[in-house]
This record gives sequence, structure tokens and C-alpha cells, in this order.
Amino acid sequence: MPPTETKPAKKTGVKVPHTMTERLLILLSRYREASIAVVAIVLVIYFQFGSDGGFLSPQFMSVVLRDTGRLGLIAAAEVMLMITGEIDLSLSAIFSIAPYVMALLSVTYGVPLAVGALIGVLIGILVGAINGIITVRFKVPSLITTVGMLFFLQGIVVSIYNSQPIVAPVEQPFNAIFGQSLYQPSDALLSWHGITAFTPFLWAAVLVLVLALVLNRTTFGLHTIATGSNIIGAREIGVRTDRMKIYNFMIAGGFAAFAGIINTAQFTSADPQAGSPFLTPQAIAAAVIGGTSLLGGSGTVIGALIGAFVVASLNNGLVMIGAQATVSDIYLGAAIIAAMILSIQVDRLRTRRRV
Amino acid sequence: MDDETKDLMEMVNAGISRRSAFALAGKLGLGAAGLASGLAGAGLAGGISAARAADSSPGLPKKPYKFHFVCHVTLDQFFTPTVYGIQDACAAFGCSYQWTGSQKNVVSEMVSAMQTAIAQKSDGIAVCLVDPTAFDAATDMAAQAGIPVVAFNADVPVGSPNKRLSYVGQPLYQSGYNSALKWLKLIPKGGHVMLSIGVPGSLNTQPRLDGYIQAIKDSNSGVTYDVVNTGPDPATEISRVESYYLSHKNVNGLFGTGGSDTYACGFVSNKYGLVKGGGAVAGFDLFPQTLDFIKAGDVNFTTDQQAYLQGFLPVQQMYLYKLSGGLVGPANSDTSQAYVTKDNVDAYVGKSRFEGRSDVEPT
Repeated sequence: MPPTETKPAKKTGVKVPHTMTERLLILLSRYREASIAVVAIVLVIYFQFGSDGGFLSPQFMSVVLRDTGRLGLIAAAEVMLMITGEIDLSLSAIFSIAPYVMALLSVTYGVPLAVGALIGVLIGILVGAINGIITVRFKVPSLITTVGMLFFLQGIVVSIYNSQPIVAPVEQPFNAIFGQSLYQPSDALLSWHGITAFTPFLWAAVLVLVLALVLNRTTFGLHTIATGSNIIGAREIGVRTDRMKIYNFMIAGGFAAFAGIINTAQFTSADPQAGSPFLTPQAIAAAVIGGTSLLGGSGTVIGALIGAFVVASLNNGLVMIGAQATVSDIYLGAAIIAAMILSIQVDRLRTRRRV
Repeated sequence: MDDETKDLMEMVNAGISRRSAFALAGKLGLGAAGLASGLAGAGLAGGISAARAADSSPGLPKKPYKFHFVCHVTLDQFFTPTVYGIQDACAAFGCSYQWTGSQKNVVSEMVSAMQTAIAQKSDGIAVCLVDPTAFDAATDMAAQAGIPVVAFNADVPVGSPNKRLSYVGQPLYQSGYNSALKWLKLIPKGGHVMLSIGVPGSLNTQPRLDGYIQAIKDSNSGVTYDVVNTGPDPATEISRVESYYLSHKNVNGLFGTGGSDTYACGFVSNKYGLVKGGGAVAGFDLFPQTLDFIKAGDVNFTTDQQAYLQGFLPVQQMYLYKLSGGLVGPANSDTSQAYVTKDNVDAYVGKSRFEGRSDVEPT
């Protein structure tokens, strides 16, 4: 794109930025996540004013960030697959089955939750491996493989124990570490109890950060991106693209299982329908508004986490500012589309600057 | 039961099986005495002579009718006891069943399931009429083919031309109204409440919500309300109810219209001490967590709509209709008027087949 039509941007690389706008634009051009961050900031300001300052209270944030954590883990998992050019629609079913098995093992055989959680995550990884193998070895498009897996797992989880939700036992410190909020209004925010209000989000943040490092700083990450951006070229330089896809399916399965376990630790309840069919589409929406291409080859897990924050803010903020039941979905749908448009516009601005 | 009785049972071919007899007796609320006399009717109880058994009627014959149940949420935990009710009634009358419909409230899938059942020459169809008109044509088709249709759990509105023979379940609007009358007593005059609905417009929860709202209006208590769309899964429901509570601290009560949003209201009450601080929380259905919250004093009450009967009674009605050639017609049955409170919650917490928490037949 010819740079001449853009604003007074001087193109002599040594120019030191002076104005706030210039600095902002440079910041935008450097980070792909910037566009979704702008959307998130706009949204926070809107809700903060709309609620007379209630939105950014620690308690309300603990709710929004709890949802951000759940959605963000699934969205980040989805990003890894979308980068390789695949998608996994069975994550919501893994999200249900992993904690269900954990709770059932605990209630029936007295297996400690920590052990059950490990088994749950392994189940997630195993399902991911199966998804991956079916997709790359039998050449079934992942959309179809994972839709099949979604129904298959959903069928299993409801038949194990007749669709009954299980009251999951509480074991400390397992629950406090993995999700249960012990935060009371009388507790200081920076105490152990205060921190437990944010455990689901903190876990998601740490894991997403690790994933971001893996994606951007390791050979594994490089090969993942290569697999999605140019699969033939990647093969020719020796990237084992099939394996890369299978590994990323396994990561996604593990993440979804872990998200489900955190969810169960938070609510001490294992529900066979915990992963609703809306969970994966919401996560994909979060990934895409966060800056991941649906066509593969590029994506950002940090952006997905911020995208998840946007969806979670909308979900809860609309309730806070008083959207009535019959119209709230209209606002939600419109806001997701608006966030998408805004994010893409900021992104265009960003790429234009970079030329 | 001792060996002698078992031997006797094997000798008696007529009548109903031991398993079914117990299931039936248990459901009908018969105690030990009732059970004994019931068994005596078929000559089963220990110590009762075979001669006496010969005097009495051999009972209803077993018939290999096949009934189709078309449900709007086939995998939902609510219907687990319903399926047990169907199984027990089928065992009692020698019938078989197929549990079908839609997983996620897709009406067209349910209508297709009905048409498939008609094509298979089903002996009777029980269906959740979750749409006011969509099932009319299929019900007509069944009627023309001589197949009885009974509605369960959800019904068409009053005055509908739908040809279903009866409705077994909760009169939804009325149950919302009655529940609201009960919880309005716990709300101060001019108070503010939150009413929740998982999927606005859904035929099995919207009428309850409408009942809630009408009761508030009729009460002239000056109570104000907001209706919150809590969303499709438990985690989202909890977050949205919690968001509402945190931004409306003046709220005096949280009231759900379905199983999982009632659980969500209980969760928030438990976390912030709403009921313990003088507020009120109530709703519908028997999620195990909801029962725990009732026991802990975080939920005031929930409405039990007796899901088991919603399976048992349709089988019984369709069996009798077929057997009598239409002489014994299906009759409307209100399965709702039961509330679970702290006083009676213990009876619900146990592992009972009638509440779906155990697949073991009661003994």
C-alpha cells in the first residue's frame, strides 16, 4: 500500500515520535494485539461510566475475569489449531467430560481430586491425539472429525451417570489453587483469599503466556506457523506437518480439559452439560476478534485472551447496565459484530502504518 | 423377600413381575401394608395360599405395545427419572419404548421423530409440546392412524386445536404463579427482585416467568422486578446472576424459572449470604446442588414437578387406551404441587430412583 495517502507520518526511520498520537500509532503498529486491546479499553470505559463506577470494582472484575479465564483457555487452544489451518469443535465436550470423570472418580472411588484432574487432562490430550490422527492420517477435515467427536463425547458423558450433575467434593488446597473463590468483602485484595477470587484468570494468563512464548520463541512455534502458512513449503524444508497438527490438537484437548477442571473447582459442580454448544463458537469469536486469521498461518494467543475478556465483559456488563432478558441477546450479538468491525479497522490502520 | 416367596413368584406367571410391582407400589405411595395386599392380589406374598390367588383376577395382561417418547432435550438430567418411570411402567405392562426427539430444543427434529414413529406404526406417542402450533399436523396424522398422542412436560396453550388426548405434567403458568405467591410473602412491600430465564421465549420456562410477573402485579405489593437472560450453560448463568447481584445490591430476592438458573441463584446466595441476610431465593426443579443449598439455608424452596410421573403416567394412559380400544381415555394429570423446603429436603437428598439419582429399583 502506498504510504503517501496516510497522515503526516514521516518515513525516515530515525524520526523520534513527539506527539501522543504518533506514539500511540507506533505502539499499534508494533503489536497485533493492539486492535483488540483498543476495543477492550473502549468497552471498559463504556461500562465503567454506564455503571457509575461499578464495573471495575474488584468483585465485579472477579466475575468478568473468571469468565475470561474459561473462555480464554479454550480460545487460546483454538488459536494454536487455527494457526495450523485446523479447528476443533469438540473442545466443549472435552470441557464437560474431563471434570466429570474427575468428580466421578472422587465420589465413587475416593480418588483424590488432584489425581482425578491429572486423569482428566490426560483424557483431553488423548482425545486431541485421536482428533489429530483421524484428521491427518485419514484425511478427514477437522471440522467433521471434531463435530463427530463432539457428539460422541457428549453421548458418553451423559450416559456414564444418567445425565446427573455431580456435586464435586471440596479438597483444600486443590480447590483454592484451581478456582474456588474464598474472597470475602472483609478480605484485603492482596491477601491469599483475595487472590483466590482471580485464580481461574491467573491460571489462564500463565498458560496463555507460556503458549505465547512457545509460539514466538521456539522451533515448535515456528513449525506450527509454517505448517499453517505454507504446508507444502514447510514439508519441503523438513517440518513434520502432520505431527505438528497432532501435537496442537493434543495441546487444545489438554487446555479444554484443564479449563473444565478449573470450572468445576470454582463451582464445586460437575455438570454433563457444562460445555454448552455455545462455548466453542464464543471461543472462536474471541480468537478471531483477538486477531487470529480463520485461514491459518497467523494468530495470537494473547489477542485471544483479550478477545475472551471482551466477550466476558459484554456477557456480564450488559446485565449490569440493565439489559432486560428479551433484548439482551440483540445487544450481545450487535456488540460482538461491532467489536469485530472496530478491531479490523484498527488493524487496517496498524498495517498501513507499518508499510 | 425369602426363598419361599421367590419360588412362589416363579410359579405365578400371570400378573406383574416383582420388580414392577415394587416400582408401582412405591410410586403410588403404598406402604408395606399396601404392598402386601397388592402382592396378595397376584398371589405373591409369603404365607398367602395359592388357593386364594386363584380366586382373584389375573390382572391386566402384558401387551407388547411400543410407545415413542419425543422429548425436546433428550439428554437433560431432568428427564432421567422420567425415563425410569417409562421403564417401570413398560415392565409392568409388558410394553417397550423408544426415547427420542431433539437434544437441543429443535422443534423440526421433534416433528420428524413423531412422523417416524407414525410411520413405524407406533402404539402411542408421548411428546413434549414445546411449540404452540408446530405439532398440530403431526398430531392429526397420528390421530388418523389411530395412534394415541399424550403430551408430557410441556403443553399447547388453552384453546389450541391440537388433538393430543391429555397432558401429564406441570401447568406451567399456574406453577409460576403459585410459586410467586409463596415467595412474595418473603419480600418486603416495595422490594425489588430479579427473575431469571435461561432461554427467553422457551415454552417450558417462559410461562412460569409470565406466572411470576402476573402474581407480582396481582399482589399490589409494589414489588419491582428485572428479568435477566441468564444464558445457555451453568457457568454463564452463575456469572450473569452474580453480575446482577453485584450491581443491584438492593435486590431482595433471586428467582429462577429452570433447573440450572435456580442453582445459579442458590450459588450466588450461598456466596454472598443473601437468604441468611433476610433475602429470598426460590425456583424450580431438583438439581442436587439446589437441594444442598436448601439444606444449608441458602435457598428457601424449589418446586418439584415429579419427573418420574411424567414418564410413568403417559405409558399407563396409552396402555389402557390401547387395551380398552379407546374406552378408558387419557386424563390430564397435574404432577406439580410439591415444594422442597428445608423441612422435607432430606427425603430428596438420598439416592432414589424416583428422583433419578440411582438406577436401582427400590426394595
